[in-house]
Parts: sequence; C-alpha cells; structure tokens
Amino acid sequence: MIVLGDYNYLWNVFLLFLGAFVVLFASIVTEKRGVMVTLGALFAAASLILTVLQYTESVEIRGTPIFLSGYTKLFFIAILIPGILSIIGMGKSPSTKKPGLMIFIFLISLGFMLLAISSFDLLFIFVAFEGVSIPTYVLAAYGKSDSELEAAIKYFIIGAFSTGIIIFGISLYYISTGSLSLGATPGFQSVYFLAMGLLIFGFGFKLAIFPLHGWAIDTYTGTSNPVSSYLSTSSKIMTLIVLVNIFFTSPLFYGYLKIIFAIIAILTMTFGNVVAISQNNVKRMLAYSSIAQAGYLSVIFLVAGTSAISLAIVSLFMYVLAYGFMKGGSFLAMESLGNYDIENFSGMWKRNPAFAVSLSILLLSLAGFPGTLGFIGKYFLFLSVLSTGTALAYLVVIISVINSVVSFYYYGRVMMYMFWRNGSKERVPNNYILYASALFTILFGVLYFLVFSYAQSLIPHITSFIVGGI
Amino acid sequence: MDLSIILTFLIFGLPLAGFPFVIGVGFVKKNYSMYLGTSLIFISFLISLYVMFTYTVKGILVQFSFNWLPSLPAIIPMGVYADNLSMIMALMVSFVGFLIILFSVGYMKEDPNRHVFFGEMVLFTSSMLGLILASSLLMLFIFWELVGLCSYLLIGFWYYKPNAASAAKKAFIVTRVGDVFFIAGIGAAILYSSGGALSVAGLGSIHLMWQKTIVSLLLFGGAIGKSAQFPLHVWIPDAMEGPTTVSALIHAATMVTAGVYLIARTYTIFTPVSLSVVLYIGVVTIILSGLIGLVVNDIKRILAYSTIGQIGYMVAALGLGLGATSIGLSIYQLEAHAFFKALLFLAAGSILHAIMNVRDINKMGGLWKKMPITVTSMFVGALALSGFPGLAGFFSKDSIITASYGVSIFVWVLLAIGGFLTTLYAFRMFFKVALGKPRSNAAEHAHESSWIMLIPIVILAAFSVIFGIFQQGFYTFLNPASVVVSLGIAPLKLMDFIPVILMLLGMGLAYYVWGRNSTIPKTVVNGAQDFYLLVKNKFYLDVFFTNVIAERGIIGLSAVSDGFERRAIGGLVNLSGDVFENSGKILRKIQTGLARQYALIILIGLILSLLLLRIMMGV
Repeated sequence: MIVLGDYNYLWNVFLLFLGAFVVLFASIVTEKRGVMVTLGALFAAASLILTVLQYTESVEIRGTPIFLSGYTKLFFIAILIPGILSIIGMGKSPSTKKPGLMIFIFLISLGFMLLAISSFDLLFIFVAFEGVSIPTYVLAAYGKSDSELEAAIKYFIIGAFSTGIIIFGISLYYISTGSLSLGATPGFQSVYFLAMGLLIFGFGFKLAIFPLHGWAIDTYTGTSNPVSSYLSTSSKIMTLIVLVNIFFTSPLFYGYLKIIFAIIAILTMTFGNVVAISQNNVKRMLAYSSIAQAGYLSVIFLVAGTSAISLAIVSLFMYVLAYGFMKGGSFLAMESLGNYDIENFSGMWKRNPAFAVSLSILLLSLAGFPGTLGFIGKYFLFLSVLSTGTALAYLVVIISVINSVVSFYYYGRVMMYMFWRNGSKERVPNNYILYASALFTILFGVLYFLVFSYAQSLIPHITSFIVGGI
Repeated sequence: MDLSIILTFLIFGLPLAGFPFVIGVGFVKKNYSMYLGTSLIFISFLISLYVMFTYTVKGILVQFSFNWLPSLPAIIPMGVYADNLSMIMALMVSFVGFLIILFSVGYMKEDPNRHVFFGEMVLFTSSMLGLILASSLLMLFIFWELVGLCSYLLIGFWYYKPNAASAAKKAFIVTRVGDVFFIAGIGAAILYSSGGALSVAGLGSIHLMWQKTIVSLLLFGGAIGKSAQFPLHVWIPDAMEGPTTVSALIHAATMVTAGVYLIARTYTIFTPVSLSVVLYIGVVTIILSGLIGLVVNDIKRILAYSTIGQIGYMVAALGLGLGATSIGLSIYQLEAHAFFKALLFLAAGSILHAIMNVRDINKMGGLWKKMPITVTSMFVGALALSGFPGLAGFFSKDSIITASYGVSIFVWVLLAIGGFLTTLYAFRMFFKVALGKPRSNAAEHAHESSWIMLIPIVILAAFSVIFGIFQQGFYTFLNPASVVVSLGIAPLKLMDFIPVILMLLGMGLAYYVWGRNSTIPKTVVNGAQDFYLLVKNKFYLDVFFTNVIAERGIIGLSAVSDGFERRAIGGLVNLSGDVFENSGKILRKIQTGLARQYALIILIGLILSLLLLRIMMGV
C-alpha cells in the first residue's frame, strides 16, 4: 500500500473514489449492468469492511480539517450500508441506460458524504456537501421520462437556492466568530444566531424538514427507485450528521435554537404523517413518511449541550441504521412492481408471501412496532431526549409518540391491502434486497443489545466528540 | 460465557428454538415431527443430567443474568439460575416429560394434526423448564404465561369438541385470575425493593414484614391459580377434555407444579402470616377434593381431583413453615407425585385408548384380565397414591403428615383424614376398573396397548416403587440443613402408624363397598341425600363463579364498559381519525408541484424563524 502518512486513515474514502474511476474505465470496455453493479458494490463493501476494521482511536489528519473518531466511524457505517443497498438495487432498475456512469456518480457522492461528516471546517463541509449535491442532481435526472427530469429540475432549483443560503450563513458565521472552525466562540451574538438560523435552513433542505420539504416529495416520487432510496437514506443521514456536528459543538446552542428545532421537528413529523394518510400512491406515501421520519430524527437536537449526548449519539446510530434498512429496503421493494398504486398491492400475500411479509416487517419497523430495529432506535432516541428532563423535551416526545401512532394507519393500510384484499393474481418477482433488509431489521431488533454495546464500545472515542479543535 | 451457563440455557432454549421446526417438519411428513419432538426433550433431559452431575452435585451454582433493558433506571435481570432446587425440578420435568411424549407417539399416532400436537408439547415442556431455570421473577412470569398459553392450546386441542373448547377457555380464564395476582406481586416487589427483589438471588432485599406479607400473598395468589388450589381449582376437572397425555403432562410434570415451585423459590419472603394462609388453603383443598373425588364417575376427573388433593399436600407442607425442611418435604412430594400421577394418567390413557374413550368407570370393569400390564401398573400407581408402606407416596405424604404433628394437632387430624379419603377414592376407581365383569360392550373387547405405550408406563411404575429410597438423599441434596423427618429413619412414634392404619382401613373399606356387588353406595347416597348433592355439585363453586360472579357481576360490568368504550372512546378515536384525514386532504394542497412556490415557502419559513429568534433574544 502506498504510504500516505496521516492520509492512510482515509483509505475507506479513497477506495470509493478509486472504485468510481475503476467502474468508469471498465465501462469503456463493457456496458454490462451486472459487471458495473458488482464492481461498484464490491468497492463500497470493501470500504465498509475497512471502516469497521479501521482505527479505534481518534485521529486528526494533519493539514486538513478532518477529524476521525469512533463517532465518525459509526456514521460511516450507517451511511455506507444504505449506499450499498442502493447500488445493488441498480442491478434491476430498468430505467438506467448507462449503468457505468451512474455507479461512478454514486461512488463519488458516497465518498464526499464520508468527508462531509468527518470535517470540522465549515468551508470544507460546504465543498464536500456540494460534492454530494451535484452528483445527486445528475443521478435524479438520470433517466428519460419527463417525471424524472421534472423531479431533478425541482431538486436542482431548490438545491441551488439552499446553497445560496448556506453561503450567506457561512459568511455571517465568519463575521460573528472570526473563524470557519466549528465550535468557535461568537463575538456578536445576534449575528451568530442569524448565521445559525440560515445554516439550519441551508443544510436542512437535504434533510427535508418542514418548510423545505416541497422538492423532496416530488423528487422521491419521480426518480428511479435506487435514487429515491439513496436520496432518502444516505444523503439524509449525512445531512443530519453535518447538522449535528454544527449545532452540538456550538457553544451558544442551548436555548433559543432548541425551540426552533422543536417547532421544526413537530411541524415536520405532523405534516408528513397527516398528508401521508391521504395518499393512494405507495411510493408517494413512502416519500411523505420519509418527511415524518426526518421529524423524528430532528428530535436529537434537543439533547445538545446536556449530559445525555452519549446515549443520544448511540441511539441516533441505532435509529439511522434502522432507517437505512427500512427506508432503503422499502423504496427498493417498489422495484418489483410497475405501478405504485395501493390497489396494485392487493392480494400480495397470495402472489408472493415472502414479499408481503418482508415489506410488512419494514413498514412495521417504520411505524415503530416492538421487536423491530425501528422500534428500538426510536425508543432509545426518545428516551435520551426525555432524560434531559426539560418541559420542551417532554412536549416533543409526546407529540412524536402520538405521531407514531397515527402513522400506523397508513402503514397498516398497505398491509391490509397486501393480506386481506383480493386483487390481481399476477406473480411478483422476488426482491432479495427487501428480504435482506427485513431480515436485518428483525435480527438487530431482537439482538439490539449487540448493536447497542458495539456502539457503546466506541463511546470513549466520542468523548471529545466530533471536533478535534475543542 | 462459561460452558455451564450455555448448557443451562440450552436445557430450555433447545426445545424452545426447536418447536417451530417440530411443527414445520410435520408438513413434510407427520411422523418426523413425533421423532423430532421426542428427541428434543430427550436431549434436554441429557443436558440436565450433565449439568446436574457436573456442576450442581459439586455444589456449583450456575448463575447468569444480563440487564434486559440497559437504558431503564431499574435493573430487569434476565438469565438462568440453577441451584439444587431448580436442577432437581428440571431433571424431573424433562424426564417425565420425555416419558409422556414417548407415550404420545403411540397414543396420538392416528391424529391428523399430530405435528401441531407435538410442537405444542415441546413448547409446553420447554416453557416449564424455562420457568424453573429463570433467574428473575419477570422472566419466570414470561414462561409462566407461556405455560398457560400452551395449556390453553393443548386442552383445546380437539377444538371441534364443544366441551374441549369451553374447557380450554375456562382453564385460561381461571388461571388468568391468579396471574393478575402474580403480576401485582411482581409490581409490589419492584415497588418495595426498587427492582432488586426481581432477581431470584436478590429476593431478600425486601426487608419490612408487612411488605413481605403483601408480596408473598400476591405471589401465592398466582400459585393458587396455576396449582389449582381452592377456590381456583375449578378449571382442572374440565381440562380433562384434552388428550390424556396432555392431562398427564399438566398434572405430573408441568403447569400445576409451577405454583408449588414458585412458592418454594420465593420461600424467603413468606412470613408466618402468609404461611398460615398457605397452610389452610392447602388443607381445605385436600379435604374438598377428597370428598368430590368420591362421587365423580369419570376416570380422568377422579385423577384430576386427586391431583388437586396431592398438590394440596405440597402446599400444606410449605405452609407448615419449617424452613428448608418444608421445601424438602414439598418438593419430594412433588417429584413422587409426578411419577405416580404420570403413571396413573398414562395407564388411564392406555385403558381409554383400548375402550374407545369411554370415561365412565361404571362402564368399565374386569379389565385386569384383559390388560394385565396396564392395570397392574395402575394398581401400583393407586398404592403409591394412597401411601402404601414402601412405595413413593408413603414416604412423601406420610412424612408431611408426621411433620405437621409438631405444628398443629388440628392440621395433623385433617391431613390424616385427607389421606384416608385419598385411599378411598383411589381404590374406588381401581376396583371399579379392574374387578367385576365388563359393564359395557367396549370394555369386553379391550386389549393390551402397544409396546411404545407400555414402556413409559412400566418405567414410571418402577420409579413409583423405588423412589422412596431416595428420600434421605433428596432432603440433604436440596438443603443440607433440613431436619430429618422421614419415616423409617427417625425414631417412630405411635402416632406415625395412624395414617398407615387409616390407609389400610380405607383400602379394605373400598373393597367392601366397591370391589364387589353391593348396595352400600346406594344406601349411603339415599341416607345423606343433602350432603351427597352438595358434594356431587362440587360445593356449588362452579355455579357460584358462573351464575353469580360472571353473570351478575362481570357481564353487567362489561356491558357498562362496552357502552363507554363504544360511545366515549370510540367516538373520540373516530373524531381524531376524521381530523387527521381531513387535515391531510387540506394540507396536501400545499404540494402544488411548482418549484417557485416551494422556494417561497422556504423563504417564509426562514424569515419567520429568524424573526422568532430575534423576538426571543429580545435584543
């Protein structure tokens, strides 16, 4: 192996970039989808394995604003797993013509995701963030139908809009603190809060929290399934972690901004759930439910600056792990069906029992049914928020739990169609990504203490948290 | 993790994990599930043997707990706890369970659903083993409920028979009454010890006397339901509607012994007050069940009442309050009872198999000649049950009676009378079955059962005969500190002969009255008509439960809560559903599909939140 000094720690990122170019050059020789997907998945999987086996100590890479620790390691895993699922899902997607180029873009953006969450310099984060955004604009547009093009254009316009907001926020941040490093102490508080507000909105667009959700529904619904899965899992998790990095390190975070986040979380989950109820298109329902899930995820910001952070980070890891499996799995499950109308799911139990059972497991997990990883993640996340003991935390958690109950309605509706309605007799092909996701959701849901103790074993490296500087 | 812990987990984990496969393999070939189920329990038995002789005998306590919900402030331990008491129970349950399942291979071989039957039997045995080896009250409760579920499934196994279906429901509901007490007891234990008393090892962390009394009485309430003690014994006779092997398993190895085990396990928290409650409940049960057993004609119900009575002896032994000695007496009776009761049930099963499930003993008779091995074994069982000197029941039961003499002379008298009644009904049943002429067509054409059914019967008969020799070793094994009260070792007093004399008298009386053609039963019935009707109607307890509590009390109450549920709660639920659905229809209009409007919404949101920040800062 080439000796790169400190950069040796970044081989999991380099593997992704390397894989991207290998796939690109291989696509000159052959355009076979199977070969491309296998190559891409292999490189991504190699990167995942390397991530798991890699360093256990905290490292700041000299000369760069990159800080690696057990914390980044956890979320590398959480981002890479749904990424791999989406890449494998490309193997069946009928809409992609040039798989080599598409996998190239996939891997490039995946690499930038890892960089974005491991940095503590706002400018570096911004560049890495754009390194994720621009490839995903292309991914969304990658197809021929008008709906895909429309979805991509909306995504691009809102994306460009948010980029402006981010840049504005960063410049105000610099004005107020005189530094681009996270966790810097502000000189002018009013400007600092202005900057923070702008950063929430700028970065939040990829997380699709409430007032920024508009593009997400059209884009998730419009693009091909692997891309929907990718945008709603890996990309979302990455954004969440970037926001966590920014706000958990902020010395003045405690207080006003929490109220903003509480309002946003409540609005996001309520909006997502309420509108999902009236959807008859299952993919669109999943898009709305993904908005609702963003609301549950945003609850994490309420623990900033309290002693509950360690538990909260472990819980967040469990939840995003579950989220990757269940959301990625259910979006990729749509691949087996041509038409996403709920009527088309009727009689699924007779048409393909394994499909019906696995999709039900994922939907139950999304709703937070005990015995699944989704429940465990949600349970620990809410528990960690409750342990801060503030009235705001109780309010938000109570509303979240009510929302979870409401969500059973629309998830249960799909299950009702699958098991108790008679419909077409047409057989549905097997979808092994779906089965694997369901299996892991149940397996980790039952053996959650293994995941929990693994994540906890990395906690000592979270102590100085994310940023080496402070 | 240590090997001993893994092995202890495997004792119940293996059949628990294996039971879906037992059912699953039945879809391929039904007989495979019989073989798989039998071998699973046999392996469990072998592992228990190994753990017993490698660790327990050497005085090694196998103990392991992990925290079930690490995030909760209270510790909820889950794991295994295998001391002498648990291991000797586990050994007995797996051994007797194995013999019964082996018998079922012959007994159920023509049933079309036998794969399900064997799956449920395996689950039943494994949950009982889990109950025994559980390291905390909560885990014990989980398996306790599994045992209840399995009993429901198995009693109602022939669900197309209306009697079986309603008996299954009855068993489930009546034991549920006890379970409410049990879970209340767990709650009280958490309350008084902030969770410490949940683990078996930490029961001592409840200190105050009144707290101990409350917790122990609540736990005893659970034991009453499961172990069929007065007044919750009413489910057991009806439970006879299930297959006979199920009855054998419920009565001998699993289920009813669970309550006794629970008391023995949590014995440290029983105070004198709660112990006297335990004692008198046991005594009342013995007398009542002995009387009812005399007038019932269904062979399986006679055995059911005898179970209630024998469990009564175990409970009374615990209630004597002699500390470790009490536990020894009770568990020894439990094990001896397991052998001879399994024997009696399997013999009855063998007879019923031969005479087409006619259960009325008035329609049997003269079977000794036709089925010599079965009925001879049954004779051994009846002797053991009534405590004939030298057999298992003699050592176990008469030791309890002897021990009670030192506690209260009144209790001693009642227990001795109970022993007399036991002999009477046991031999009433036996003489009616074995002697005389066949009184029905089916009984005339009876023939001996197949060897696979006879082997377990003979093994159990052998154990019923020789089990007495283990008595002394058993007590010392359970607790070296227990005081020797066994017959034949301690110096005998004149009092100790009275139960034996009563037993022999009872045998003779039974022969005189029922063993030959006689008009005495009729005369007695006519002479004491009122008392006969009282006993025949089971002291009107069933009538009381059904007509008064259920129909007057609970149905009225349920009508009220049903109305409340429908109107108030249902209305509220529907209202909130409508609110969500309608607001969904309104809110989705925001989603216009126009990117410029999305940007506008973002901008409005941004400005609003910045304004909010500004206002909150108040600068």
